[in-house]
Amino acid sequence: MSWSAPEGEFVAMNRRLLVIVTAGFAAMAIIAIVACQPVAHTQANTSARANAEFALALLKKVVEAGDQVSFKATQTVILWYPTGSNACITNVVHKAPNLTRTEYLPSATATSGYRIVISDGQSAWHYEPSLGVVFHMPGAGSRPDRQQKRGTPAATVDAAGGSTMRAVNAMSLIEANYEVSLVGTESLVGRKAHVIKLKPRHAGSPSRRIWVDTELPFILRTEKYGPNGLLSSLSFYNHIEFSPVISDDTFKIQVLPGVAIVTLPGVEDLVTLEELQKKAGFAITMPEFVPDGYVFEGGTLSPRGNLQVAHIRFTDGLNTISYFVAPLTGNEGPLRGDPTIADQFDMVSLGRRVALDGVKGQLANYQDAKLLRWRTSGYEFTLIGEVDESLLVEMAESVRAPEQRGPAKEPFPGQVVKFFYQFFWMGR
Amino acid sequence: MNMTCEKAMSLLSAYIDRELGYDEFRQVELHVADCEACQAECNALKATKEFVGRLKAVELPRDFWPALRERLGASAQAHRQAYTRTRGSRGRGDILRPVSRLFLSPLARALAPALVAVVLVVLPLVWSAHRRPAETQMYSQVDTIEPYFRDYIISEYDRPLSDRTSVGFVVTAQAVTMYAADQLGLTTPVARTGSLRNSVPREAPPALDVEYTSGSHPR
Repeated sequence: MSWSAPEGEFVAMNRRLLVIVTAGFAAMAIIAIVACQPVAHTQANTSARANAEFALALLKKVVEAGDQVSFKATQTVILWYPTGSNACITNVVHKAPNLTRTEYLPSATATSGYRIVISDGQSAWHYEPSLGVVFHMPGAGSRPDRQQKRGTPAATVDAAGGSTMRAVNAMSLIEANYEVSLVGTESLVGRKAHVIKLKPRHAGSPSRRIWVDTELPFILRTEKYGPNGLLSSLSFYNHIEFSPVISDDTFKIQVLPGVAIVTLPGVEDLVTLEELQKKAGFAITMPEFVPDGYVFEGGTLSPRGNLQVAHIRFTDGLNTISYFVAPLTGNEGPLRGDPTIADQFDMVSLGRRVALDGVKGQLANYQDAKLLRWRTSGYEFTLIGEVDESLLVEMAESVRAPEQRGPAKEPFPGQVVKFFYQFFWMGR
Repeated sequence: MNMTCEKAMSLLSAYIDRELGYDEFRQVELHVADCEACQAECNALKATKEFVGRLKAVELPRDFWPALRERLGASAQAHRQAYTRTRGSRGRGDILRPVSRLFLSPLARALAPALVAVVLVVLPLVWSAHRRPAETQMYSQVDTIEPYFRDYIISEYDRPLSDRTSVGFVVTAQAVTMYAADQLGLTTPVARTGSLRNSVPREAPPALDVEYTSGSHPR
């Protein structure tokens, strides 16, 4: 007697086996995927971190190298702002470490004529042949030690200008306030460059893209974007030659006879708030709010005739917010959005009124920056920055009105004149 | 030139009378051909001109002008008589007599020079005080913003990743702007409020072909 399994039972067994095997494979696959997920995630994280570290290291090299790379180049600069744009082509010669000659060439879009600027890192001489003037600008240079000193403030107080000192430097500020990443590699002006993106971690700040040469610590192209994401400035080289032979005669200006020399206000070293307060001799009320990521960098006193204006700077490493406090003299014009002489150059847009906390302010654009100005308690306050205007308004609203400052006492003849003026004219 | 209805209307009369130059005539012609309103106006004006042109000139009677002259003369005489009657018997001398008596008194004669002196001293002061607010306002428009922006922009030199050529472009343009304001005749106020606050007055012009290097430039 022979035994044979019924055919139906055999088929059923096979099917069961198939289901078990399939389920087993599926389970293994799921386990494998789940098990590998953290690894992939970690790998992606590690890769992103490595990418960011590489980009940061590149930027650090650029900052540390400063102006140590000599070059001859043709560079194009384009600026966009609400009322228009401006562009120019320049011939730049730089001899490391300090000497730079920049020739701004006239063009159809540039509002300026031909001009030459020679800088030795400590001062700049700007020759404007069309005006027959040489402007001497002390401190308006790119002296590496100065920049290092300023770009890397040894001691920076907290945002409100308090006395808690903490050491920060520009690169650590950039690292803290911007997501730095390597976007790719591109070829430009016959060279290869790493493209680095600096995306702000805090809303309302400008962003930037920088092209760094793969072989030299040198920026080949810069794109700046406003808080709205629109391109606000662009600079790139049309042609560049590294380490050329440069004669010192390149850094001499041949001026025409009869040229006037005008010395413009110099750039002074930054001091702490306490020192500034002492030097100024008037109350400097600090804003209680500053946009995220911005810290107090230091202050200077800027002379305006016989008066002094306190200039306090906040920075996030890449950008600046300037805050000015000036005592009113009583001779100021009305605070309103009037056009200024710079309108002729399409630089300043008409200002507009904004309502601050119980005070009227004036908001104007200047290229890609915004200016907010208001007056209260005998002082005039001005904020300038490239951050979103809502942040400037918030800053302004956080400035507590200082104690009322009395108007400057007029001398006797002034009072007599005022009396007659009021007697004769005010009654009209 | 862009021909507007307003412009065309103002030229219609000359257009109809063929008093326009060729270019203007063509522009008005083209505009009238395209614009119904101006076409209607043109037709109306043409009709009026034609109507007026059809009127016969009436010849005036020979004694018209002498009679008109006589009537005008009579009317003027009547007005003069009426004016004299209303003034009565009191003449101009009667009105001014007490006033002149007051001004010619010894006290008035003594005070007059002092009064003139006071007016001469006070008037310029009052005038200058009257002008001051307007001037201040004008200069404040010119120079209040620029020095602030300048301070702000120069701080960009200190940013480690900033593009110096771009910053220099703005800073030098700023210097030119302020200097231009200065040259527009605002030297004193600009210097007072600080646009060129530390500017050195024009130094003696440098000699021909003098070379200034960054090291040898006079400070």
